[in-house]
Amino acid sequence: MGAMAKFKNKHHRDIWSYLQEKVKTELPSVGDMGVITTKSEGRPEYVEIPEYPELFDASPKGMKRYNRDQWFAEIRASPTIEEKYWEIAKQKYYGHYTFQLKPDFEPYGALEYMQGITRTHLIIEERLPEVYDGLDAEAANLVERISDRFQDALIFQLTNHKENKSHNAVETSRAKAQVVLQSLVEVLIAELCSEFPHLQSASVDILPRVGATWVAGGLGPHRSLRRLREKVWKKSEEEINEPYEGNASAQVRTELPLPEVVPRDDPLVLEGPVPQPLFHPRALKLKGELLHPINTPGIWPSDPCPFGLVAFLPQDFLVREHICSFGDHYDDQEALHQRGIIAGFAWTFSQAIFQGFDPYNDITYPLVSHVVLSDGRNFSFYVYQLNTIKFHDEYAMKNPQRNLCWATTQQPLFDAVEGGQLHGFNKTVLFNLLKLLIRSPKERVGVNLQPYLGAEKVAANLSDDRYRNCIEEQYKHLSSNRPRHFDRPEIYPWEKIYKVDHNTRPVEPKIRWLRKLPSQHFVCYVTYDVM
Amino acid sequence: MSTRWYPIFRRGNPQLRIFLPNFFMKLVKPENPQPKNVVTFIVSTEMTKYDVRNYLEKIYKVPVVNVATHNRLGATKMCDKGYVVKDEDYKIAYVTLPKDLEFQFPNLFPKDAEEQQDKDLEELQSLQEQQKKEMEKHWDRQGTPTWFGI
Repeated sequence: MGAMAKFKNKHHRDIWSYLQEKVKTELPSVGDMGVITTKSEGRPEYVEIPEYPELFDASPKGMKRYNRDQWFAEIRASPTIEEKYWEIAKQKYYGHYTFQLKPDFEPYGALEYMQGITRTHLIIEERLPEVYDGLDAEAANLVERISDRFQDALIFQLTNHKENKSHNAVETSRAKAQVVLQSLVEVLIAELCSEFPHLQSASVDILPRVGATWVAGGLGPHRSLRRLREKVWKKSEEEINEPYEGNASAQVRTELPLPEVVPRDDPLVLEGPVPQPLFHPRALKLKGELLHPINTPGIWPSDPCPFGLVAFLPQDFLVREHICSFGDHYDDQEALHQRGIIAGFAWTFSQAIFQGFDPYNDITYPLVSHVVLSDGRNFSFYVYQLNTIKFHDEYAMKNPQRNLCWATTQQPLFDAVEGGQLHGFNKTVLFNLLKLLIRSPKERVGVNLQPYLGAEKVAANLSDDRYRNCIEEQYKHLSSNRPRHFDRPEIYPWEKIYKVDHNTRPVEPKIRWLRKLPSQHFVCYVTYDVM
Repeated sequence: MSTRWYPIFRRGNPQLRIFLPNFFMKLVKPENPQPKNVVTFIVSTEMTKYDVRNYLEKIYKVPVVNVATHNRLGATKMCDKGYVVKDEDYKIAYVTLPKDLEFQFPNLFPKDAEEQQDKDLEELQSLQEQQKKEMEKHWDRQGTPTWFGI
C-alpha cells in the first residue's frame, strides 16, 4: 500500500460512511479466520520442527503494548523523513508535554542526571581518545604552519571587536564568543580545505538552529500526573519528552559520516556505567510545556551534507551575572560537561533522525560528532558517539547499549591580549582543535545508512502534489513551534472546583461548546483536506 | 515582623516577653523524589526566597545554593453538609544545598515501633474480650457483687 492509498483511506470527512466501508473491507472472512478451513496456502502440511507464532499477551497491558508496537512499525514503514515526523507529531494537536533544556541555563549538580536521560557514559581525560593519536604528526605540522595566521586573526578580532554596550553580561559574552569562533572557523577552513577533501565539500553554518526531541523512560510520574492516573488509568512506566533547543555559534557539516571511535560491541558500549535518573526534571527547575517535537541539526532534510563534523557552542550559562546563576557554589567544569553531553547528544541524535531513524526505532550503526564549547578564550572538546536512541518505557532498562562521550577539561587558548600582542598562547588547544577538524569522514562499507527510508527519502520526492504540499507545510509549520490557530480550551477555576473536582452541578452539561477540542468541532482535524 | 496582638501592659511581673514571629519553616517529606541535596519546606506565604535563604544561613548556619518557592492552593473537599470547603494556601520552598551534602528525611514512624503498638493493642483487645465473657456469666444478676452468689 503506497503512501497515497493510505492517505485516501484514512481520512474521510464523513465518518459514518468511512466506518461502513471499513467494516465491509476489513471484516475477516471465514477463510481468513482459519478456523473451519485447513488450507495451508502453499506451505507443506507437515514439517520436522514445528513453527509456532509468537505468544500473544492478551491482557489489557499486553494489548496496549501490542498496539504501541504496531504504531512503531507504522512509523518505520513511512518512506520519508517528514512523514515519520508527522506520524509522531500529529498525535497531539497542541504538542507533547515536554521539559525543555534551554541553551542559556544549565542546572546545578545535574551531571549524573544528564548522563541518565541521554544514556551516556562519560569519560573525562586530559586528551582526546586514543584513536585520534594517529593524527598527531599531521596536526603538529599544521600547528607550526597555521599558528601565526591563526594568532593574527585572533588578535584582530579581540582588539577591533566593538564591545557590546548593553548591560546584559550574558549577551556581551555570547557576542564576544560568536565573533572569535566565527573568525577561527573561517581561518581554519580556508587554510585546510586545499589539503583535506572532506573540508572542501563541507558546509559551514553560522548560528544554525539545532534541536532534538527524545523520549527518556524509567522516571516515575510526577505528583500531578500520578493523581490524575489514579482516577483514570494506572500506568507504572512513565516516559518524558526531553527536547533541547539552542543555537551553535558555528558548525561544519560533511557529506559522509565520521568513522566510529569504538565498535558497537566494545565492553565500554555494553558495560560502561550510566547513572539511572531517579527524579523528575521538574526537580531541576525545568518547566513543562506543550511543544511539537523539533528535530533539526541546523538544516532541512534534503541537504547534501547531513553529517556533523564540529559544532562550536558558546558557554554563556557560566556568566556570573546570569539570572539563573547559583552563585559561588556553581561548578563550572561540571556545568560544561553537562552541556557537552547534551549538545553532543542532541546534535548527533538529530542527524540520526535525518537518516530515517526515530526514538522508537533504534539506529543500526554508530554516529560520531565533535563539540567545542568556548567563550572565545577557554576551550573544551567533546567527542560524542551515538550508539542508541531507543530508551523509552521499558527499554530504559532492557537496552544494553550506551552512548559514549569523551570530554577534555577546560583549557585557556591564551592568557591576555595587550598592546596588539597575544600573551601565553597555548598550542595544545589549537592542536586539539585541528585534530577534530582533520579527522576525515569515511564511507561506511557494507552499511545501509538509511535502512528505514523508502525510495523517496524526503517529502520533496513524493509524486502526488497535493499530498506532498500538505506534508511539507505541516512539517515546516510544526517544527517552527508557533502556537496553534485554535487556542487551547480553558477550564475556569470555578469549573475545576465545582464540576471537575467535586460534582456539585450534576444537571449542567459537562463541557461548554467553546471548550470543546478542535477534533470535536471538526470530524477529523488531522486531515490534509482541511489544511 | 509580627502581626500578633500582645497583651496590654499591666504593672508587675512576669511580663510577656516571648517573641513570636510570623515566619516559620516546616520541614516536610517531599511528595516527589528529589535530588539528594534538596530539602523541602512548607513556609509562611509571606516569606520570600531571600527570607528563606537568610533564615537558614544566618540562624542555622546551613549553606544554601538555591531556593525555589511556589504558592500552592489549599486542597478542596466536600463537607458533610454538601458544600465545598477549602484548606489554607501554603508556600512550598525547595532548598538546594551544595552537591556534596545529603539530606534524608528521617523515618518518623519506624516499623518496629508500629509493630509493638499493634501488639499492645491486640493484647488489650483480648483482655477486654475476656472480661466481657466473665461479665456475661452473670447476665441475670447485673450490678450485684459476685460473693452474693450461692
